[in-house]
Amino acid sequence: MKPKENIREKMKSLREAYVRQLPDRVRDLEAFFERLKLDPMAFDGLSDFHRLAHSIKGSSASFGYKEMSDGALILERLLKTLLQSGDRPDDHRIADIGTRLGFVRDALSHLEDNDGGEDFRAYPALPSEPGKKTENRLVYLVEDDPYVLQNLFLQISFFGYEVRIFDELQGMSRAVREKQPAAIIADIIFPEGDLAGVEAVARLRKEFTAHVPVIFISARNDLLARLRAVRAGGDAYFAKPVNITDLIDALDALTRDKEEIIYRALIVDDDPEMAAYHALILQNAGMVTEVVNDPMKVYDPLIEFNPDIILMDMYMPGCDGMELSKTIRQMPAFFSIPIVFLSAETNTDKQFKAMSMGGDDFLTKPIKPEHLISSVAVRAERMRIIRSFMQCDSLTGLLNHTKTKEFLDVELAKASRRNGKLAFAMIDIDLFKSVNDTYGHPTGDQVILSLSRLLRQRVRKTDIVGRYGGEEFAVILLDTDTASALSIMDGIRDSFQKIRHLSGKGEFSSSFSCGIAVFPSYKDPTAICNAVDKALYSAKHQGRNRTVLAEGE
Amino acid sequence: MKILLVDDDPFVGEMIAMVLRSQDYEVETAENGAEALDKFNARGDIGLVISDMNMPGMDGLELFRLLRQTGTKVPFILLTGDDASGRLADSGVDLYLLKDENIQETVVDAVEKFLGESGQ
Repeated sequence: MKPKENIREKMKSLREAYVRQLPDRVRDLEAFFERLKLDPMAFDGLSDFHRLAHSIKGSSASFGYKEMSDGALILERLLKTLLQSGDRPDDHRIADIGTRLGFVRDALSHLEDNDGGEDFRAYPALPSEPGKKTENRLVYLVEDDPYVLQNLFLQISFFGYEVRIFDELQGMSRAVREKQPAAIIADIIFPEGDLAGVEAVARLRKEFTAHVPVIFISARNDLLARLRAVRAGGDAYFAKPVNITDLIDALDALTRDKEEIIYRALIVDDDPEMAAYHALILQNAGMVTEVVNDPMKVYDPLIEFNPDIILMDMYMPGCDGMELSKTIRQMPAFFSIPIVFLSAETNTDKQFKAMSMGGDDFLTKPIKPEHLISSVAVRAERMRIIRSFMQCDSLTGLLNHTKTKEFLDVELAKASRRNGKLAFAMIDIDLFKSVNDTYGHPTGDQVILSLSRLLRQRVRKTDIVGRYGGEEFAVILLDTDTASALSIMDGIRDSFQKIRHLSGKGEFSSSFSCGIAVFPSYKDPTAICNAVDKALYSAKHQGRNRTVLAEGE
Repeated sequence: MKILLVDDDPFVGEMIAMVLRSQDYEVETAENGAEALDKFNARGDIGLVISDMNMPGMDGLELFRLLRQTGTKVPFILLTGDDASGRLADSGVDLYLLKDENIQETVVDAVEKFLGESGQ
């Protein structure tokens, strides 16, 4: 079963992508015309000029932009007549071409007012995908080989970047002056010279103080080109043919928002004033805090808040800090969480005893704010690192199987407490064994990496993505209903099947099958796992490369 | 039976593929004639070829002739930017479709004629 609702959204973004690059195509028409005017006798681009006009006519008509397609049509007719006659165009003809090109230019400026036809007539609108990002994901791509340009454009777009394409350096430089992108991807060899791309970037670098990351791609793989690229301030260099997984990897690393790491501290203290005071100190240092005054009620906040560190009063009524820390450490998820004791206790024997019971540090009240902050921050940081080793798959950096299951349990419990929604999707790469057998395991790993990247980019940061097994992935979409889950996952499936993977034995593409089950249709972890397994099995059984909902949805 | 869609314009190709997939047809795409021939030969399950006429290198009609030379009788739809029915009347192509604002409807109607409704 395929989500028909989804197509309206996709059609809309396809139309938008088309409109975005239309000015570039029209500018190419203008460039042909300029060359023709400059030297009509030597102009050898008539056939390409004609093809471009023809192509704009066909594509703009297909997307319902009547004025544009009419303008391109009359230009195309004239160029065709010229082409068939074999005559060199005289001044009169050249002026005629200019007039007709003017119609195309006008149509382009009216494009905004006329938003084409309906995006897709038959289907109702769907609420927008939750995966939308607001950060700057604008990438300029400059490359004079149209095939490489289009191919890279599509591939990079799949990964959620907004790509503007240029086939010559000046246009790109102009665009950078108008609006700075998140990154530039530039070819090196242009008609102007074998290092023209590098030189153009070096000039741009001198103009701007803000660092815009630049990735060079080139057929040149020699040291000189690489060296010049580095000197021009290139952040990465890829020899053609470009491995798209590596390119996206570099792009991600260069454009990712340098996220400020925010530590989470849970404060357990029976004295509300004291707890609030310590919370305030840590908050002022940029941490997030949660306060528990009753030690017997620490479990729910522990699971919900998921702290990086616990700050605990040593002496509390009913349950002292040492006992409490012991019971917390009995829970596998918190086996290694740092616990810092706070107490007025100055007796070092007692302090040592507390440490042996599972405390990491012992701070004596009253504590200086800067001591509290540094003691908490240094342990929280270590905890983050240890956690990432314990919880993440080493190849993809996604959560591992155990951790994913844990999150599923926790999120299901949360959803049921809040009468919320949750969608669980299980993904399995189709015929993965044959990818490994045909192209080798390193290439298989590339496919797994590109899928993990795609998944992470297309769901929200708060959603959970795990590598469940060799070629199996799990996605937990929080607060997501059946229709949206289907739309999101099938969108990802569609993008994935279009990604071209590169290997020593040639290019290929891969696909995955996906099963989805939703809470509250399935309430407990076992039921939702069984349902999602069945759905995935049926996706495989129906011929793979599809998204299937669990029965009863 | 799958549909092989050949168009050098990624936007138009993607749009038509999207429309057909929304109708539950399985669509394989190619960006030029050479790739289309490779895909057609590599897969035994192409039941219909839809190709753009105006492509660099091998045009749609050349692709059609090369396919026929391999002996296949697979139905072939040619997409053209202008009304070429007169000029191409005796080329042997099964159907011409005009790339215009109605393409989303006309292509689905045409495919239904050759493959029946909704894929399989």
